[in-house]
Amino acid sequence: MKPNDQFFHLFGYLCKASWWIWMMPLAFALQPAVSLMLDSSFSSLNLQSTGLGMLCMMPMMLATMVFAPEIFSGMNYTTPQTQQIAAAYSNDFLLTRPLDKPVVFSARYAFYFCALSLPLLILLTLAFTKPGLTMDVPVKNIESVTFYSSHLPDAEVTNKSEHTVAIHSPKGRVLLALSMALVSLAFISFWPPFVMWLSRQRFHKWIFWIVFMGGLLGLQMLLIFRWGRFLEEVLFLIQGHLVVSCMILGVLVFLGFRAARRAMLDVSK
Amino acid sequence: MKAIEITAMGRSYGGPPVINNLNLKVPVGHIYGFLGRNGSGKTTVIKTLAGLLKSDSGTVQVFGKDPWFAGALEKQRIGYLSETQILPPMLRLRSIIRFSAPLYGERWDNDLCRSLLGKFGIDPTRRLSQLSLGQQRLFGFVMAVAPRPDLLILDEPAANLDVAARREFLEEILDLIRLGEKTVFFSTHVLTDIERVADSVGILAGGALVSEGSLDDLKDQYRRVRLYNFAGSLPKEIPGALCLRTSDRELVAVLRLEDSQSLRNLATRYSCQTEESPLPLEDLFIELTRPIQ
Amino acid sequence: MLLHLNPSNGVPIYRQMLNQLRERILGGQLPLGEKLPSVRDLSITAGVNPLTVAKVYQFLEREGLVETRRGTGTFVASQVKTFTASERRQQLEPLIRQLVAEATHLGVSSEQTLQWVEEELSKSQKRNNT
Repeated sequence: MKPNDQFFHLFGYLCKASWWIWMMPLAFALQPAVSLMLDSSFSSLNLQSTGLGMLCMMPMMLATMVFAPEIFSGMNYTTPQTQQIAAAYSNDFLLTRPLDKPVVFSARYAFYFCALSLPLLILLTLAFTKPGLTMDVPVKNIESVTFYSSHLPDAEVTNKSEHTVAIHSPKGRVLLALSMALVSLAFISFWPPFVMWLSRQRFHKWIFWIVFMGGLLGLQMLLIFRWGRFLEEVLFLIQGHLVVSCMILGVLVFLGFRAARRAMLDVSK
Repeated sequence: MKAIEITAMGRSYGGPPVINNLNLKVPVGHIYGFLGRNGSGKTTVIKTLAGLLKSDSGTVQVFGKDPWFAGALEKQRIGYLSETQILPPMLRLRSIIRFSAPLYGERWDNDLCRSLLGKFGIDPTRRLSQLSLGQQRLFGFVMAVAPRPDLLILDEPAANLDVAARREFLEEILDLIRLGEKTVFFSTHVLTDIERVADSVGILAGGALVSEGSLDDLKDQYRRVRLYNFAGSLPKEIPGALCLRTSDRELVAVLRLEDSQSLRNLATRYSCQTEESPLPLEDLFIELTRPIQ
Repeated sequence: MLLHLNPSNGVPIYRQMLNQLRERILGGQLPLGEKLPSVRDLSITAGVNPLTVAKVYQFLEREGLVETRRGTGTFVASQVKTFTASERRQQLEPLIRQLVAEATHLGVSSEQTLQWVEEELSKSQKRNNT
């Protein structure tokens, strides 16, 4: 088979090899969609952003399953579903089929990227159906009022009641979804090289788990407790410089792709 | 050209090397039995041959090319069955075949695939996870031989197989070999399988081969020798003896005898009478892989 | 052709095959000039590696027991060179040695051993005559 045919043949296989793997993008999509779309007004954007932070876990798990499933195989404490996925996407199976190694890599990367971009696209589409964003902020929290009214695009401030003001932005939800998608993409492009680098290290598996779980939990804690306004500011920064952000993101994705590819092909002698 | 040629291979997993200066050659047309105790590094070597691991040092070549860099065309020539069954468990068998077969193009022998599935009583409409462990193993084996590979690499193919199924798969190995220009490299703990079909064996211990060569030569040369009726006192040790058991009047040793003369030499050297008996591969294996104390 | 092969005893399979074929040729069970199964066929019926069969045929050919005719196959030689006295002795020697060793072990006297061997010989002669 020519490399192109190999690619599509393998891509098709990866899509249907295990339906359990689709749980990850589904879970990835669900939480931000629910938290962003269902509420009519917000008191802080941090909750939404932390929701996004929590979901860094999904791309990481998916990256591990697609790029380095051998980490899961032969492990205790993994569910049968994980073991099944690990077998279906394993190097043992894919790299011993007559496929060119770069093709295996690019098909895996394409699958991973598509599977995770799909929920982001859905999120954006949903945001377009309900573009306006309203924030309810207590009047006495003057700092928040000024922060949101100066950062939300085209913000209109109205008095909602004696104690709260409503800050409304007509395109706020779309821009928020867009900036969240861009942050997610940055994370998505980071995990494959990270996971592959980790899987190639020759330490005992328990060290791997410490890095894996410790890093994951640490990240969550950081996002929830320590970052304060940081995430919101990042989101607003992205909204303010969409073109530049997209360009930086493009570079990040490219570098991530290249690093992961090199880790897998390993042409060093 | 050799089917497999490994020179001075070394490989570690961070700690002390698992494989240390391993040299191994398998000419085309041979069935090579690869033996070693649990944890001796057999699977590491086999995974390296299958292109799944990269060696740290030395060179590993399969049909003259490093398997780590093998492309689709080179991989078409290699059939591989891993030690732990790694195939997509959620798919129906026919979907797995439908994915694999086109990749081999002309090489894939669909009739063989169908007839083997029939012979093993495997229903291709079932999912892999619905099969018994033995049947999963057999299915993996079918996937490895159906493309009529030039080199078949099998890691513990006999695991979980009943006697009849094991015999079947040995027959299939022989059938493949009879096509000519084919090579089989397999590891197993079932030594009778090796004895039945293999013509060469390599025994791995301490990261390198402790013995390699034709199985017939090994069996011809390694003998259990009993020395008795000593004229003088019993010797404390016999150079080159793998295993020595003494009682007050006789010695039993496992020795490598180059020819029929060596036994007579032994008798004159220690002025005693000798008696020898053949050594089953199992005993030889145990003696050769006994850790040095 | 039925061969009794036991892969797990210490004797190499090629030697087991060689001995059995040799016995059959020398014992006249395989008539002179008879065509032997091809390497492939014998390896199938005996369930062994074709290289082993080829090796056996090679040995038999070297001993002058079979002939390979190009393109037609392997045949029992039309004239089988029988063993010389010293070759016969060489064949029997290990068995004699074992017999002696066992007899010594069991404390059987040499006269008694010889007598039993003679009895066995006469029995076998009688069987062959009838």
